[in-house]
Amino acid sequence: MHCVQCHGSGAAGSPGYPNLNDDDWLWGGDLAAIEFTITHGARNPDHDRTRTSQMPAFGRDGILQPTQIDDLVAHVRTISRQQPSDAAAGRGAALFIDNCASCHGPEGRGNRQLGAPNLNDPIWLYGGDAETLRTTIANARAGVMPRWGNRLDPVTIRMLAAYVHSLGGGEAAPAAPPGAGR
Amino acid sequence: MAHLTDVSGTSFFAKRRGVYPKAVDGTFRRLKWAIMAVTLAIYYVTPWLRWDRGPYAPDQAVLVDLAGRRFYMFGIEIWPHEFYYVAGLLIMAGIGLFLVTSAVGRAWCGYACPQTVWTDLFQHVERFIDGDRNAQIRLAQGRWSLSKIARRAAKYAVWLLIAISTGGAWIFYFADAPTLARDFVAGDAAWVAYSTVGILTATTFVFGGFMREQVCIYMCPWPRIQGAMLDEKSLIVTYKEWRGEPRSHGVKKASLADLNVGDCIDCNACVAVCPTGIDIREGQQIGCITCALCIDACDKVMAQVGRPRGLIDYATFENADLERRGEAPKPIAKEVFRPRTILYFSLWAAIGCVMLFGLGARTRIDVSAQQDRNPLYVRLSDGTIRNGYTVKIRNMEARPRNVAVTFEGLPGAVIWTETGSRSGAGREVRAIVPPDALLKLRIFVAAPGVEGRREDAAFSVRALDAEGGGDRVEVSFEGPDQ
Repeated sequence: MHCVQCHGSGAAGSPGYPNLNDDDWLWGGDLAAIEFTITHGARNPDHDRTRTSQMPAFGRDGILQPTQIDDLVAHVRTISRQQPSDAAAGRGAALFIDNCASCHGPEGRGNRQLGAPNLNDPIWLYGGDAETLRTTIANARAGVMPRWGNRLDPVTIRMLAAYVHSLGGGEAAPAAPPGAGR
Repeated sequence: MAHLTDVSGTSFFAKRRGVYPKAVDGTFRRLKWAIMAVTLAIYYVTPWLRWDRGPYAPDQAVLVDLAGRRFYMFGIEIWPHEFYYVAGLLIMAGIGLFLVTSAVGRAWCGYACPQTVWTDLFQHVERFIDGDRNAQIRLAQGRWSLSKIARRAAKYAVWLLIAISTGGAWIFYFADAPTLARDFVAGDAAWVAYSTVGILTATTFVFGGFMREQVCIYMCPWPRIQGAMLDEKSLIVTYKEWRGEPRSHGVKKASLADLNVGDCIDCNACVAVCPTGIDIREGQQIGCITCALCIDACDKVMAQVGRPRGLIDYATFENADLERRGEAPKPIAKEVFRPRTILYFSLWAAIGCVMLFGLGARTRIDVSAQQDRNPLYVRLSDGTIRNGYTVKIRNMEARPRNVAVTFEGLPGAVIWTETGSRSGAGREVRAIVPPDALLKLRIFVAAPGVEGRREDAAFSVRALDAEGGGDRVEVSFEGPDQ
């Protein structure tokens, strides 16, 4: 009732809204991380514990030229094994280290503390085709999820977390307490 | 006296005449005694038989466990999805009835039908308390007196006792008999037990005590169907009118006077003993349940007047015609074994054999699988496709069983359960299915290189114990090209 509007009745998500069945997590897939995300939401204005990060709008804000963005797209499509490496991708690799690696990592494997998606896998939040990637890099993406801590009681949230965890992608809690989270 | 065969009236129903069958002894009466003893014993004793099935199942030999949805019959346990065995038994009963009827007429009606057996029992009680036919008629027509009230009260009391134990025995088939008996007496049994006993007590009391042959004539469809089942080679109780007619009172006197008389001395013994109050000399009729008591009665009279037995006897229409024309009747075996009865018997035996084979070969593990429909498939971060299934494994034996579940048909596929994880996934999943129960497993399957719309695959379950056995169910594996 609370989640289906965005994540769908089977929790398979849709462009911009993550699929909760898979094993690819933006902010972490163990029980505690899921519970934290549900409680505090993502990029919630006026809430200081919410999951938050800000991707720059490289094109709109003039940080990169359109040709540079095309090179970056080629690089990202190469590391995600959607196209073979070429000259553009080579140029994009250098740009990636300078502009993207701080969040997505030097190899583009993402960073869950920042909700930075893994760019190597075939799971795309908005789409992995060249056109969508160009839009994403130019205008940035910042999906918002409401926080439910002020609407649902902790027991309900814990049950929701357990349910989401059981959908198939749930991860075991890491040995060390997660850096992100509480 | 109005007879059942009268068609002059306009009413479909005749007012019941009192029927006060006279006691009789003879071959068929003794056969009836034996069948009555056996059938009643089976009915009353069966629920109390025990049968050891181990610690996880009830130890009642015959038990219809409606709440647990199991049917136990000695070494056989039937689950609801195996109800076709019960259907098969019913079909066998039906064909068996056809077989018996086409061979020996309404033998079921005359000997084994519960209505007949209990009516017979009630009539014996009646004779024991009220006396034989004549005393009963006198009592029925006599004015109410203290002795009549006492006799009626005694008779109804015994009937009621039989009725209660009849209704009472029925419920023991549906629960553990000793426990239920204790609870029933203590007043702790379920209301449905009391109401069932109440209803069956009422029907037994009324059907056996008062309605009797009316049940056969007006309520039961079988006499009508059986009428259609009979043919000219079926054995039925026949009054040999070519031998008996014309009737006379006093054979000796008649033969002295050189009159042409038959063997029937019109003593009405056949009518007096008939439990349904018909006159067999009118021929086959719906009221005749072919209990053959009239044969016993007539044989006795024939012996007394020095004539050969069998004026009333089992005979086929065909033989009756032959005898009427003065020809020799065919041997009975030749009449009974004919294509029709052999066909019925073959059908009956074939169904029985198929069911026995099925019972012997049935595997006591059963698997079914339901695929997750929403979402149909999930793409994992390494590009493999995952499908989810709910796999239900039924263990139909009364002991826990270790099983291994494997996924067949997709090379490289690994499976794991909800409680496991993909890192520990392998070719098979192991589980312990509790005794006599259904285990629900949520199983994830991840397969690399599936890009099509759908692949055929199957779950296979096999038992890991010495007995072995298993089952397989076909499923589809959905891919991204939807």
